[in-house]
Amino acid sequence: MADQIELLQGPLDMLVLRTLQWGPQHGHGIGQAIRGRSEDLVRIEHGSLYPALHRLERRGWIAAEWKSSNTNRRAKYYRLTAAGRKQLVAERSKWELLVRTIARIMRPA
Amino acid sequence: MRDDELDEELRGDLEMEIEERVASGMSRADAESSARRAFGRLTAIKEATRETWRWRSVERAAQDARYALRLLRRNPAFTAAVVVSIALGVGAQTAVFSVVDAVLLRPLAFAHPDRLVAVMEHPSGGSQDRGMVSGPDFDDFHDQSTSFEHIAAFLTFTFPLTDAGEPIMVRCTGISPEFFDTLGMAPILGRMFRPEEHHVDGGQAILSYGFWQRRFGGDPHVLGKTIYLNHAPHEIVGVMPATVDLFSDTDVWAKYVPDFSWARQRDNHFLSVIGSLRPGISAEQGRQELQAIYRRIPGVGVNATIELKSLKDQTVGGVRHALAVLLGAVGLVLLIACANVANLLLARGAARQREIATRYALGASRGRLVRQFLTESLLLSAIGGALGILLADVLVRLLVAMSLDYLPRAEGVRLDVPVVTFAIAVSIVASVIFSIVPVVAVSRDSLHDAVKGRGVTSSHERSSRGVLVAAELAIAVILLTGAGLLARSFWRLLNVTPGFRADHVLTVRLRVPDDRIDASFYPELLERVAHRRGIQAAAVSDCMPTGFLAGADLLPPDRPYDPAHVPTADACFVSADYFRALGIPLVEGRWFGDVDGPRTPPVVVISDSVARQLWPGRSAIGRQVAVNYRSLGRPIEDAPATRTVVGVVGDVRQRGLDVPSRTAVYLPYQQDATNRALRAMTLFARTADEPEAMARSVQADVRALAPDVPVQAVTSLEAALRKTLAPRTFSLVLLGSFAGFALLLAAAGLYGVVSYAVARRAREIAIRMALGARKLDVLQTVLHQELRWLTMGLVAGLGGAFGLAQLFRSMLFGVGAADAWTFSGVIALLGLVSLAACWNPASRAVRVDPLAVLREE
Repeated sequence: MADQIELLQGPLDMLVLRTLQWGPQHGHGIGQAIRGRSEDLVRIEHGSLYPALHRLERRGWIAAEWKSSNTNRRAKYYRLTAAGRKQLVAERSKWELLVRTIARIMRPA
Repeated sequence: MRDDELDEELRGDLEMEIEERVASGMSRADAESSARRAFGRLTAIKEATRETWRWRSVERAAQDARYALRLLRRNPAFTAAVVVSIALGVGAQTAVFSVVDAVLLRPLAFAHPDRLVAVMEHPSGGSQDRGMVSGPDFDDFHDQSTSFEHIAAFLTFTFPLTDAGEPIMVRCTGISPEFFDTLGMAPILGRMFRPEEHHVDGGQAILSYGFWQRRFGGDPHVLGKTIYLNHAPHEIVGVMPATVDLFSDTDVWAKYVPDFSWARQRDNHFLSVIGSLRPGISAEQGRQELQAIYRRIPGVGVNATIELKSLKDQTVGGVRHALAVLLGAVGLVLLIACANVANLLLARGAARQREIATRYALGASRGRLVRQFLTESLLLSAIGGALGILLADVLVRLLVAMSLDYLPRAEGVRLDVPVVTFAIAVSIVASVIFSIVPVVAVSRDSLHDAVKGRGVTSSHERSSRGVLVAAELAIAVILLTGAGLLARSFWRLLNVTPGFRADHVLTVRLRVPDDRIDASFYPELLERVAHRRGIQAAAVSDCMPTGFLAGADLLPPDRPYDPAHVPTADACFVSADYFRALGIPLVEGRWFGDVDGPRTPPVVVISDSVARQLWPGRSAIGRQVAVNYRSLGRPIEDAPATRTVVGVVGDVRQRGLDVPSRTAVYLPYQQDATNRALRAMTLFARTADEPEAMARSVQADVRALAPDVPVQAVTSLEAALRKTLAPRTFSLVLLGSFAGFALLLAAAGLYGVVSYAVARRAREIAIRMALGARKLDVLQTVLHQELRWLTMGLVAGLGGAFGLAQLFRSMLFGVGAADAWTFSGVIALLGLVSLAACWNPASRAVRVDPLAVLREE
């Protein structure tokens, strides 16, 4: 648990968008997916996840829809919009830039 | 509704979590509790989510402001520099605007200010043409015109007030019946004069508000009391409200009596006339009607004109130009301040590029960053603006104290709601101006550059700083040139010789009651004063240079009489020692002496210019000239005595240092047939030491001789002369301070840019020096760009200054708008200041230790 990473708002948004690239998903599913993909390293607090989802929806990057889940339960499914797809590309290039920059700064002198 | 959905969403997801845990082998109860633990407090999640719905913009603004405030506190030097720049810019701008607002913009504080006009007569070829109207002309205007609701005449004079205590002089305005109706004023106590009372001199008086307060402490039972005005009893019948814009120095409202003989003379022009136009009647219509009436008067002629000016123009027209120049100048100061702040922000923006780039990479949108910059700018301008308003309050007090003497309506200058609104608007506009530049710098390109590179600044940013500094320098040049031209004018004026020696002359204004005027009063007084220790010469005259001057028509019998071109001159009745006391040199002939008395042949002393005009190339001594003396309240003589010229004296500038000398004639005061001149005389005493030191003893002499003669307006002639320079002092001090401030700001901007250029290219300098380049060459290469901006600013400024200087030609004295001294002085000064501003960073550049710099890399 001590090694788990807490995500800042920017990267969290990016990861949510990335997860939805594989198809519509509900909040619980998104959390699980990120956790699974990061091999449990990244754990997302529900207190950050839901605000993030609503924020992204508000900005028009994702859209929500009530559907029945596999277990026949009504759930709110989110999917990526066209704007969201573009945003993801932008976020990703920004992110790569940052990673490279930080890496260069951190490089042993 | 949205809350229910959120509730359902969370509940559903929680249920899924539980089911997953049950599926992995937990009991239902365990699964539920562990899932709930994992989820965290539902209410907290809901709260955090709701946050994203509402108040987003407000929250953000608050966050931005908090962040900005923290940043500003962390850079106190930067913050102080910006805030002080804005405060000075806004403060000066607001102070000057408050003056412009009160003096030029605000309507006069009367009932129908837009319909109030001043009426002026301009007789064709008129000799004493100051627009004044004669009594009979006024009667014609009043009786025949239909364009005016009311039309009224007034004249101002001073009367002695001899109640209990020291006699004093009070300022009276004599008014015709409809005067207060014209202005739309009603008494706050008592009544106005009755129509029949207007035909009798004295008897009643109406107090002005100020005088009522000062003299009677605002006594509500003042009506019916008697005051002794001009040694005659007057019953107080009314008190008028305060008039702030006009007549604010009137103490007592008296009557203009149209029945006096001098008031019945067509060619005795002494009345000021005001009128209130009927609604719907234009000033031009009113003017045409009055002009038609005027031209019908026999002897007036078809070239005579009537001029109608709005009463406000008449009151403040004289200072409009100077105030407009000041407002423009202070606007330039504000612009410079903005440019400087933009420059500072830009410089800091460069230093903050890393921070900005990081925030951008971490997910802050570009809009957010721009908003952050705007928040910072607004915060800075809010603090600066608030300080500026405080500063303006101080400046306004200073301005009013400085300008009360000559600026009309100056009492009304204050920081009120419109002025403060203006200040706030100015701050906002300023903040928009100076924040545009750094915002442009947050372009996508520069962000990427910043993230990738090591602070390599775009040439774009560098050139915007260059333009800013060039603009600052240009504006500074303009302001300096303006101030320089005014200063040169002032210096020229101080070196003007007025034709008399104003130093060491004490002047005392006397008002003698008619029954005290006898042959002995003035000779006795002069005898007493002249024999005091410390007095070198004493004289009396009914004139006071820069103050009261009468005029005269000159009628030499050896020249044909041409009514359209009557020679005129300033005219004074003087005692024998007048020329000695004032130090006016004798050119030819003699001064007056004891031989010139009431029963000896009438004589006259003329100024050099009169001699040259009437008898060019010949001696004037012994020539004959009739002098028709004109002054307020004096009937014009039908056949004035012909006088013999006994002396010619130098020309004098009696009206002020900046008014050219006029022709002048001097008459012995004992030879005034009417004795009118003797009622109000000024005593001139040339002193050995400071004139003010003798004031008390001279007053004692007057008091000993005539206890009921009021002594007022004791001043030195020098002070009176200096007072005529007050408007110029005002403009010069203001424009000078603006220019100085502009120069400082521009120098600071230049210093910043050069320092920056040196710091940015330290490595290049080091390499060049390591390769053996000479220091001067290095400097030239490094500062090449900056020097170009400097030159451009200078050239643009000189061009602008040259153009703008033409606009205030009328404020100059003895220097041309293209004065070479001023322009070369400004160039030299700016060159020096630029050199000083560049010195420190440049010398830092050449002292660079190449090895140290390169090792650092």
